[in-house]
Amino acid sequence: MLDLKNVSMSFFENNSEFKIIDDISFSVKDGEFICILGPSGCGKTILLYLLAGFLKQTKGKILFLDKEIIAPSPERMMVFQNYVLFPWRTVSENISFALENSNLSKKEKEKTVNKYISLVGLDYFKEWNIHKLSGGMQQRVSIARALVVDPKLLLMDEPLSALDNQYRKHLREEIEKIWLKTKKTVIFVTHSINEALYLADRIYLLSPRPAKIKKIYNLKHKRPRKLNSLEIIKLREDIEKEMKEDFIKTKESDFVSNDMENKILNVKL
Amino acid sequence: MRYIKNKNIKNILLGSIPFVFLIVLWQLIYVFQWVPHWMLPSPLLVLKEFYKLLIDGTLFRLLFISMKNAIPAFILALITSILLGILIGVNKTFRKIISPFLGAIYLVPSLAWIPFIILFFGFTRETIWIVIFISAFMKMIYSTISGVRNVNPNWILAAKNIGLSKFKIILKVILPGALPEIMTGIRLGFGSAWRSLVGAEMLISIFGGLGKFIWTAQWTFSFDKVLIGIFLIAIIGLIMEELVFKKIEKATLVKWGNIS
Ligand SMILES: Nc1ncnc2c1ncn2[C@@H]1O[C@H](COP(=O)(O)OP(=O)(O)O)[C@@H](O)[C@H]1O
Ligand SMILES: [Mg+2]
Repeated sequence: MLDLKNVSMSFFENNSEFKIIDDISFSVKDGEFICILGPSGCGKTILLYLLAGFLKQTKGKILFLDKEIIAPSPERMMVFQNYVLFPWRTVSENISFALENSNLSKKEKEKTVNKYISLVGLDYFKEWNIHKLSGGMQQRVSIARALVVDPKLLLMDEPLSALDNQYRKHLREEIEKIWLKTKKTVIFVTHSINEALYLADRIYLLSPRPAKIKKIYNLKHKRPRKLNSLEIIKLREDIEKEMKEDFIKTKESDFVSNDMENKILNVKL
Repeated sequence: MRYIKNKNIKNILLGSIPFVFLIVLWQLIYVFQWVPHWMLPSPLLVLKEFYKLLIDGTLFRLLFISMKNAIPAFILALITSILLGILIGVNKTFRKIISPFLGAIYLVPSLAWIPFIILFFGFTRETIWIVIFISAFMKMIYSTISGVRNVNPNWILAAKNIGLSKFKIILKVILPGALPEIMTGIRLGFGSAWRSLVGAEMLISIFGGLGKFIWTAQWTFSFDKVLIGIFLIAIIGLIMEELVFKKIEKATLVKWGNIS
């Protein structure tokens, strides 16, 4: 359903090229759970922005259902890293925001919203203000907002990275359940090896910036997975070794703060 | 609850220290005749006069006139500054064209325009309106622009994701996203309008309310009236600011989660 062919992405500033993604190619089949694993600042968010259609790659092609991606579309929904909810809207209003452009009747909208509120287990908090919710609950709202338009592809940007350890494991299982239930195709970006090992049908391991595909892991293990099984431990050791090599090779100056991303990414209307 | 009440009372008590100090000083000046009595009447006399003017409706009449001088212009400034502010905040080219112009006008006190406005509109209520408009507009447009510019860019991406049109993004994301700052702007804009109102009323005194009252009182050496006028301006300004605008602003901030 998704084909990336030699995709590269650079930003240009003062006539100098700043390469972020370097010649990435891969294909995703319907219903797969794909994890993109890479160190912070390597270009994972930018890659998702290309798939969402927020940005246009500088080289290569991205085909979604055999058509080139030219603009954002509710068929490809983004779950943002920092939730990106609207504080002036309640939980259910945040979710129904995604239906703002749909031509469902008011009643149908309400029904759909309720269905997804239940799916993420927030029935009790329906009318709550966003800032009264914990980070994990906010992320559930964000997931429900993405699912409510019934997208074909779900793009998740480190959805668990801002949560505490206990909750992270819990929501990880929950995301797996939701995926099994809804049968969506998911591209899940993370820098956590365990998350990738737990969730992915296939892991693409990226190098530090500019992001290249360094290694591909296919995981056929039964779900729900036990992360302490021998096979998985072996896999983890291998991935850790690969990432450590990169870490040692990366110069200090190559680390660019992640907070910069929003500031430099000049969002035009 | 009890704690909050106590805290409020404490704040009010602390805040009234300078006022009490001033009144005591005033009384002392009066008693020891450091200043001739006709220049500074006693606090009690002023209070009596205030009561008289309140009972016979003079103060309400003045206030009503001042409101008529201020409110239409303020509302017009509110609407236009928000509309234009959004346009400038959203559109880069437009911003580049307008910013230097706004920056230049911002530095001119609104009363400085009066001679020029009189030239075209004469000594009319329109002249007062235009002064108030400029004064409120300049404060509010900057808050609106800044509010729009500070809208989380990811909110806009989330809206684009579902294919919302520009117009709808402005209506559903940018406007509510900028609302806390716009609210602050409205409060500051009112303060600014209120200050220039009195100035304008002194100069265009045919239509004057409180401003004219103060201005004409000095010709009859009625400094009790001058003081009453000043008090009234301060009190009305304080009431609007603290009880109306700050409340609205705070309610927005709380709902938006910016403060709890
Ligand atoms: N508009 C931009 N111009 C220049 N550099 C950018 C821009 N947006 C992001 N970057 C840089 O691209 C790199 C990759 O960013 P990102 O995809 O956010 O990394 P991550 O893998 O942590 O999600 C970072 O070094 C970031 O600073
Ligand atoms: Mg990122």
